[in-house]
Amino acid sequence: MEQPDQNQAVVSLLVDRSKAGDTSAFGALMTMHQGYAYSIAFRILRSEDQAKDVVQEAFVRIWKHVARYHETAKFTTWLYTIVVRLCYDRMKSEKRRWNLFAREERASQEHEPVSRSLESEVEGRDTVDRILALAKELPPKQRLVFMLRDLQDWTIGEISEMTRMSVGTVKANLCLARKALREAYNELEG
Amino acid sequence: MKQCKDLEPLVYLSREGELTAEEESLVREHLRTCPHCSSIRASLRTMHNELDPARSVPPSTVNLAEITLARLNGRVRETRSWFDVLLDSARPALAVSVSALVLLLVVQETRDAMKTSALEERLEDRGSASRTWNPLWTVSGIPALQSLAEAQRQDGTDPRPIMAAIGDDQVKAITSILSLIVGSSDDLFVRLSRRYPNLARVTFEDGLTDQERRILATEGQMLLNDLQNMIAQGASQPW
Repeated sequence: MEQPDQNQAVVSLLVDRSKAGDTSAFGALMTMHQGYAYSIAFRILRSEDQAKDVVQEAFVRIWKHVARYHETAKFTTWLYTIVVRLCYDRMKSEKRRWNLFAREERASQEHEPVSRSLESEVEGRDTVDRILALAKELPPKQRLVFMLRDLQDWTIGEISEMTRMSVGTVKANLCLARKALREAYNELEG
Repeated sequence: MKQCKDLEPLVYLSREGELTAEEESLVREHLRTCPHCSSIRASLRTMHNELDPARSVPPSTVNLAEITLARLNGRVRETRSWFDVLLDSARPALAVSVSALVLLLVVQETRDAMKTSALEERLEDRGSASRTWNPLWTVSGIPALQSLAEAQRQDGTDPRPIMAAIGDDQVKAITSILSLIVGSSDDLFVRLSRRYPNLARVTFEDGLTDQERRILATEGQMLLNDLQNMIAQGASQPW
């Protein structure tokens, strides 16, 4: 995956000054990376507001923990790992909240199967929206891996590093995600 | 030759760099003779192409670095609603309230259980023992309490029944867990606060009004149920 061409020496300098509490230096560091961090978050979450929240939260976390940063890892890798992790947490929360409300809804709408409501939800949308709506129904790990690989072109190794999943786990989740999406998509199209 | 079901997972890993050279060659060989797997590959390719428009990202309309810097410098949070700002300022109070809520519920239940037990004993002779249902009793469903008491029983350190076994250590453990939960995740805090707006307004400074007791019995209990669900669903890293 192509990353923005950052001057490593400048990044190191800005990180050092940030460690010393220089918020202006940290501001410059954020300005350098905000566009790319935002695009990662947006492509995973598909929501401008949520992507903005995640990027801000990631920056705040980095500011809090910048003293712990050692240059053995690239700064960008560290930042993207935090962004991906926060996106994953959001997806898990969404799913959990969905489960919570689904229980309440099921109690009042027992006669309407979930697949039927999903079908009506994606009906009439463009193909791309349909696939994304179906992807939203995947378990968070599968959805995350699918979004990183098929929408952002990160390699399996990079995804493994960012998500801290093993290569095998990444591949297994990717396979399950594609299989589920293909089957659901064929069913809706058919 | 390997059968479809063995090779199908590899068929789904269709893009460059997803398979080893050996796997690639196995799949390529298989696709020559298997229309089923070939159609999977073809539809994956179609689906991948369909997603092209989703790969572009609308530019962010705000300068996130500037906003974050303002946050770090303690200035106004421009992208956040007044409600979020209000909640953030109420956050320490809510953390204390949640901890106090648990303590209160536990103490209340223990007291009620003792009262009920005494009442039952008094009424037992007349054969008309009755209990007025109190929603606060349902706190005994908290698995954390039960498992702590259970662990104690299994250790053989405290063989008393669950409610009788609730002592200082367990209460401290639960309050510290809840404080950790509330204090560790902005997202969780905001979600909980939105779901339980009344609970955030309960104070413990001058005792409890009837209204506050009702809130504790309804939203307080719902909060505890949600927390136990989230803990159950979230596995090792729920937050």
